[in-house]
Amino acid sequence: MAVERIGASKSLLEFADRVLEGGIIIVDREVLVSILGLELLALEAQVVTLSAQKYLEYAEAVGLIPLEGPRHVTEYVTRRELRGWAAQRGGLLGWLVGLVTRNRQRRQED
Amino acid sequence: MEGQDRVGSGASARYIYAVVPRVAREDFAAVGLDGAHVYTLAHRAIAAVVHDCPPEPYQGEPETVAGWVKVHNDVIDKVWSEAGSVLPMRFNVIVKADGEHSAEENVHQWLELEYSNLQAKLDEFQNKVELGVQVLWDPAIIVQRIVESSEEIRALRAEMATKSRGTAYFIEHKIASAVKEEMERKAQRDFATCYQRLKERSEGTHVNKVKKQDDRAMIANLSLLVRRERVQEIGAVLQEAGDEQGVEIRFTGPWPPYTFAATVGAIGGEPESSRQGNGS
Repeated sequence: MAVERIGASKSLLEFADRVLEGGIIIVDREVLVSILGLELLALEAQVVTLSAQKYLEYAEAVGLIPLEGPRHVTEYVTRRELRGWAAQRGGLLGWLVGLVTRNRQRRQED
Repeated sequence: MEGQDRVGSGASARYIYAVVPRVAREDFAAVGLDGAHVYTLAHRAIAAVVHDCPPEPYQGEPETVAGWVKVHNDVIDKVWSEAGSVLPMRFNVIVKADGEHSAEENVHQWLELEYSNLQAKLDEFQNKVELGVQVLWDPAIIVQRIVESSEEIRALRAEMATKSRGTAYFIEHKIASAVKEEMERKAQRDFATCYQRLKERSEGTHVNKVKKQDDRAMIANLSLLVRRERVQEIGAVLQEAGDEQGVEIRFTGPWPPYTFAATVGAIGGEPESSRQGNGS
């Protein structure tokens, strides 16, 4: 079964997504305790689920991913995910994927 | 424990978990962060769910923060089940005293300033839950399926086998670009189909950033605002989408409406136009 229903034991990353990135915040420097502290904490808690190396990849990916929408999603798929995957595999498929991502990178650099 | 020191004499600020419709129960006992005593501050027909703390943010080791994040959500779940609707706050929203007012007065002032807005949202979220849906691809399987199913790619591969090395090189490029295009088309198509089917069954949708995964490509990361009675129906739609080879769906919830409640409210009376909501 490919649908993973996570109910009572929600994953930590899902908690972090919602509790640290969603919800209402109040912005008023006079009465609110340090917004900066809040941001640092958000960062820290996301690290919880990721090793140091994974965190760097994660931060990079988050920084690079364009905001929203299907076009950007596919760009992300071809640019980032497949590059790593191709590096681990030989054969025609790995080569194809490597080529696709390299071409794309070249075009972006031009 | 750090948190035990927070409650007591130095507790001049209020950590806010959520805003709820006013409930009869005012005391939720010691269920807060580090066992803090959680209670409600009622204001007209609504109430803030708070505990007393010193005016400083919660900071700690990642494991500690993870524990707090979970407790924050548990408290919200608890008051949600009692109050029927909830506006969850983000972790670490702490209101302190200023020169003129106590922390408690400042919380009341915020509730008063935002009153109509908060009440409208509480009404809107009555009997609704947030669900998380992530669609992931196994790139190995998806590329394999595309290569095997595309007539164009099959023909190009057959052609390549019969050509000289130089010509084959150009054909290889054509294959690569055909695979790339087909993957993009498929991701776009799959996203659109899935999104449309979920949107029809939801009161609100929000497209979140896709997250880096170890061995999967996330093609969609959605939050849905759904009527409680339709959760099963959404599950059935996802079950169908997840039957496809190489596609995996993660479905979480029900959550308090974190994504749909997310707004910025200012105590100092910011103009309405400067607020940002990120609802659907």
